[in-house]
Amino acid sequence: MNILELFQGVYTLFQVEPVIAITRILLILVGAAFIYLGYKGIFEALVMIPMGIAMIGVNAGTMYMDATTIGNLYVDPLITDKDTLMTVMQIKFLQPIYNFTFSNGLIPCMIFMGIGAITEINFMMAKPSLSLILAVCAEFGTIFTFPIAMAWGFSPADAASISIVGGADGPMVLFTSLVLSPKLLVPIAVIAYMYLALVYIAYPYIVKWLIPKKIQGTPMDLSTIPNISRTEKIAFVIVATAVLCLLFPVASPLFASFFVGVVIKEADVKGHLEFLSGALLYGATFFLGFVLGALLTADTILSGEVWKLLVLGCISLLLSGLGGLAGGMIAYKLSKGKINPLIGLAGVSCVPSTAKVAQKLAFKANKKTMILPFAMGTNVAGVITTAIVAGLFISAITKYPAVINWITGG
Amino acid sequence: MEFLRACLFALGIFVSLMIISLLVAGMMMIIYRAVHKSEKKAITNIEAQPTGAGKLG
Repeated sequence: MNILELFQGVYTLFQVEPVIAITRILLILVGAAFIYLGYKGIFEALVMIPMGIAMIGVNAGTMYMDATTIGNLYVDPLITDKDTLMTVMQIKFLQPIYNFTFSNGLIPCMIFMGIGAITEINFMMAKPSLSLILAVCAEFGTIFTFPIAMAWGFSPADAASISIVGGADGPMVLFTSLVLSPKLLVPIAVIAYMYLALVYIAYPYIVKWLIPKKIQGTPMDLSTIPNISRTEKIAFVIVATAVLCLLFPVASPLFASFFVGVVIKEADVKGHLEFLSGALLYGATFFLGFVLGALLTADTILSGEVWKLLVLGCISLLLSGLGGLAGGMIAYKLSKGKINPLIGLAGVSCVPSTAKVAQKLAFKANKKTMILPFAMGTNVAGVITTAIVAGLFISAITKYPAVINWITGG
Repeated sequence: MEFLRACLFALGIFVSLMIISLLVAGMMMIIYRAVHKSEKKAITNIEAQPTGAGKLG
């Protein structure tokens, strides 16, 4: 008997193809890097730390499940047979969470409820046209990465899923991938959360290269912001939920989840508010990170075209940033210098990161500039526009096969 | 050709997004005006009442 057989994590490294063994070791190292970068605040710690630990655990803890099959005790996303699923649910400890919260899109909706409960919509309602038009410009990458991905050989459903990364909105990426291309869910979701760091790292450089410092520091008049009452906010939430759900039933779980959080905040239902913004939001984010990490095995990474997804995710986020800045510059010119173009960057809906980046850059250029309320307006509008884009993609691809046939020439 | 058609599809999504966003912005402006108008009306009604009206004492 080989003594190594007692330590199956090590033993299985020598029983598989070298490329799989090397990938497993690399993923353990990447998991450790995620934890370090999360701890240092470079990556989103709430997601990346649980993800890193799960990646280390699943890639180190690989074993023989029976005489010939190598697997793990975490989760198997590929099971379709009901009987097998019932058996596996009692063996793999994350399987129930995957099947009952990931497969049906519950986890992004729970995160959206929490985000809604901490979102202040009055900045968007104070300047609705400006906020929403700039947010539309910042969807440039979310929309126009689609043809690039298709030209690179992806199907329309996969191309739409990777394009949504440009919205910089994790739950939205998760929801779209779950509906349109579940097989690419893991790499796309990991890329989306990893690239949120680009907002802090790459966007300041883009601004530095493209916008003159004098324009970056353009002051905005805070006295132009009207007071928005709670009644108005609640009335808007009711109308917006009804209209958007009527237009996009496929994305209505997202709209309803976001707006239920907002309305509970505005109606000041303290018990619910505490639950949504605390236990639910953090619980869902924790399990999102942990389950995604457990899904990041060598097989998953090697089966997908991960490097292409990495490039496309990057293109999508950069195009969105450029689109937002272009919209901001147009608003600056049209308003004759009264609108700071950096608020366009906040249309990339990574709430509140992009708004904070815009304020930081404006403050750096001019110590008297305060654009945060306007940037937050565009930022929240970005959440709504990304949800609309997701709804448009999902509706067009799942409900109108003729459109897809026309695109693919089939 | 497929790339061109995908670009046209993306353009269609962009235009649809712009139209729906303007619709949402329009809704916000209508709600803002309606709520402010009703609040203004309520204030005018209170001001129109004779002093002491509504007081139990």
